[in-house]
Amino acid sequence: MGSGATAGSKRMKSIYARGLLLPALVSLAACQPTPPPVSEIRVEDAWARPSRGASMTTEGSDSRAVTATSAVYMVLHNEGGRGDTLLAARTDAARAVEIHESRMDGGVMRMRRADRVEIPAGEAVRLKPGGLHLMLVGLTRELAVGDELRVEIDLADAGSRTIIVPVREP
Amino acid sequence: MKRLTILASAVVLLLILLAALVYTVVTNRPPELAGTYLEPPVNAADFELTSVDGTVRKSDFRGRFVVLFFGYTFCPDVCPTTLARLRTAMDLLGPGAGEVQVVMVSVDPERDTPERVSSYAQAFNPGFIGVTGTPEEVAAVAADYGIFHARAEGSPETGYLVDHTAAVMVLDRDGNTRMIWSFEITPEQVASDLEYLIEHV
Repeated sequence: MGSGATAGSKRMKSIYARGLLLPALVSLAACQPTPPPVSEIRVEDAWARPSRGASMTTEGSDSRAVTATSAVYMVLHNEGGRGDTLLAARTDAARAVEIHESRMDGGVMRMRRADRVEIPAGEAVRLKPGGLHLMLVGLTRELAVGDELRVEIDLADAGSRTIIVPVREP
Repeated sequence: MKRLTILASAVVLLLILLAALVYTVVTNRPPELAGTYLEPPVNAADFELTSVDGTVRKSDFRGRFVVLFFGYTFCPDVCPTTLARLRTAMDLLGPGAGEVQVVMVSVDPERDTPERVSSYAQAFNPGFIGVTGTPEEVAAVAADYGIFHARAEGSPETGYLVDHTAAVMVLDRDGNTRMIWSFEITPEQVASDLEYLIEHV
């Protein structure tokens, strides 16, 4: 009786195993391996500040290295499954673009350059006045409300892309 | 005769003190103000700085409220944000804006010439005044108003940056500091606070 039950259950197990194993092998063969998660960056509401002052970019008397500045803001949504990083940006409207962050330190506003901006998976990072922004240094032309800039942004994972940035008032 | 004079003087003094007490009690800090209201106002020194049109003295604006902001034209983010908010606030204020003078003092006199700071301020609103001076003059005015400013290292591209107090001062019609707005203030709050000041102060 004991052996019969054991033998019976053994057979049951064997049938079970074969029954499960075959479909499992088949489905494994049919499926692609699960792809690694990627970042999916969507840029929303990008805008640039108008440049200020008459002929600020062409004041010949100021022979300093830099002239007028502007700032570009946007919201970076990471709708993918992997974190990404904003590394750099460039535009033909300025000699250089740097990532900066304005920070309040006991009533004193300090602006510091940031090497990068982390954009975690599933989150959105907002570049906004008084906070993170792209600083445009050495404007090559006047930025008037209604103008558009082409800004190329470099993302570590998602690569580089060009975004159209309208010039508007905040 | 002398005793009567002393008595009379004492009574008058007492009445004055009483009036002052009542006045202070009655004019409490109004609950609706967004800025920090200074009661009594803080006596602030006159200043003499330079705009594109020449010498500008604080006493030039007696009879009007002065919105005093310290910034620099090279600033890409904070200063334009503040000036744009003040511009919007002046629009909201409508005719009341005639009672207010916005003055931007440069904390970067080495780079901000009178022409530069004036045209910068005027680009936000033609009525805004931008002033600068020698580094010593600017430092003295900033110190008078408790404004911190210091150079910070930038990159070869940007040159130096300037850290500075981002608060905005409001001076009353006698040129004394009456209110302080923090950086986060909205245009609506600015307009509303100024309306109160114009009406009651």
